[in-house]
Amino acid sequence: MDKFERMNCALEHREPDRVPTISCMDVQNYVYEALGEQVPKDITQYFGNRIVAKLVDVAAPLINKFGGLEKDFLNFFIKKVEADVKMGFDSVWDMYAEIFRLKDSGRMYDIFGRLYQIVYDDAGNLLTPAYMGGLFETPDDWKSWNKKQWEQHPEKMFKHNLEINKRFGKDIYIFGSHLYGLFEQTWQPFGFEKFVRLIRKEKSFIEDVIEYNKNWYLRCVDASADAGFPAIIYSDDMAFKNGPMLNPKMMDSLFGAAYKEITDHAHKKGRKIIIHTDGNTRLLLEYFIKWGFDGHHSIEPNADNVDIGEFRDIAGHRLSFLGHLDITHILSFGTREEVYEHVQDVSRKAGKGGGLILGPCNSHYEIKVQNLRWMIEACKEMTYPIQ
Amino acid sequence: MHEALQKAARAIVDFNSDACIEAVNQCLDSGIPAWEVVNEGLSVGMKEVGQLFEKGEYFLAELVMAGDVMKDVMKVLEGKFDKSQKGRKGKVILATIKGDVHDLGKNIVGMMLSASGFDVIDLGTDVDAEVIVDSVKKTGAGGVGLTMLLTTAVGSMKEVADALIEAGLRDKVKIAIGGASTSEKLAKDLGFDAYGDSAAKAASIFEKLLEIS
Repeated sequence: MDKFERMNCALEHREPDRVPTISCMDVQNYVYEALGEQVPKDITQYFGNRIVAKLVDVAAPLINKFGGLEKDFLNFFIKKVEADVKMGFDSVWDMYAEIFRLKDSGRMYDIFGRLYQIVYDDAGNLLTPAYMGGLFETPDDWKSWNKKQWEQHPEKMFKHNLEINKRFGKDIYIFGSHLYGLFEQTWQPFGFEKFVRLIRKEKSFIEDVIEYNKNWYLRCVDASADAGFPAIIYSDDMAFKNGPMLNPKMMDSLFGAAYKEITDHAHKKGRKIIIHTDGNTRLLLEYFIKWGFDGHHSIEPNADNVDIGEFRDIAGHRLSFLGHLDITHILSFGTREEVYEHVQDVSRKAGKGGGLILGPCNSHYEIKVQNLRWMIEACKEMTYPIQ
Repeated sequence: MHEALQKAARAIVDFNSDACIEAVNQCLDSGIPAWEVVNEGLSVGMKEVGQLFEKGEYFLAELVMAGDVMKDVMKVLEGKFDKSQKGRKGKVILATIKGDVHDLGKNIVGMMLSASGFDVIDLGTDVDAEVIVDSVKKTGAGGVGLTMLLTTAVGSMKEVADALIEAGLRDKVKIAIGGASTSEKLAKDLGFDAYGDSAAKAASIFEKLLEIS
């Protein structure tokens, strides 16, 4: 089987020739080591210099105006897919994340109203900025936010996706994705506490925000499907290590109809759509199915109460499972034997009948390229029927 | 328990600010002191919310909602407390450590501790070890709660442990840690006194650490 046959087979819950793989890696040290290249310098690497930092603090709006980070981000995401192809992954979660703007030398904000801390790995390479909070205090702040770049985003995403598909679409199975889903895009610009307060006190406003975000997200689905990507990952963290952030019933009543519209839209375009969320999602599995998702990515093995075998028992073959491999030890510090054993164990627990695509459950700078190579090798040896 | 105290507790569990304020006003009109309203009414409600969270019937949002009701009600009670009762269970310093800015868990911990009668000193996020040491010195707090979500901040946890030892304060404070990238093992490795896997357990953890019956 080629990569596309293998992936389609797994996603349709038929047994492929072997367990397929997916990459969600989006850190610079992985990408450039996999490609055998030096991590290029970007402007953020000079922010440690006090004089540069002071200049950036003043000139941030100007830097943004001239697209300061845009080129670096877009180039990086092209390199990311190139690295995944070179590594030999069957599929890649391609994230379109050209959303960040400089606030000052220590912080970024995004075009949706979130504030981030600029963070680096041990080698000083820029990591995905860490969410700090929202820029909005009140509904009026959200309403008066300039949404020009927000509205332009799907079109820019489409153009980027076309480029990615032109370059790599024949080499690897690509899941298109916008970085954030409805839940995150609704609560994060306010912060969780304010968001919860708004649910209590101004629910109709929150419903309006969800409706706006849903209509906007449908265009992001188009941006992936129309560019030719065979499937979509809908990324929307809604759980933490103990369990869902919102009561699943509340989640369903607020977001369920919008999720269903998004999955229906993807299906009408002939695309499978996978939901990504970290955390303990046990109580959400039935809702994922109800909302029309075809699969679930992450299934974080170290979250409380997450056992992929039990998840398979709950969901059966109504959901495919993607990711799941441990990054806290196995893919970061584990031996070849540990990697092989982990792949075999997970495949035996959840791989029978297809519906399993393995990869790191998350991206992290401590994950080793060598361990990912062992993981890919181990999956190549995990042939069907699984013993 | 006085009926109005029960109503106040119930209103916390139901996230009903109006009903809670009405019940609290009834308590005050009946001559129940403000701290008794908090300890025997509101904190009973918060405790039940915590138990429902532990049982998986309530979720993070419900903890925040209950805390939000508490905030609404505390505005009514402001200025009505006998100052000698403030923080009768002791002082606890809370901080999201250097290198991390995620404070949702810390804020919920603060809310649970305040509702249980602790005096909470919240140092905020991205807090240097020296700031924590200074705060312990200045306030004489018996407890420190440290949180982090990012694994990249683990080194800062160790810095706090080292700084407290260096300042000769380690045996004067009990330290509990929590947050997505913390664990029982990390707490043990760094010589801390407790690990909390859930914000809802914060009050009982510090009551135990500070030997409060």
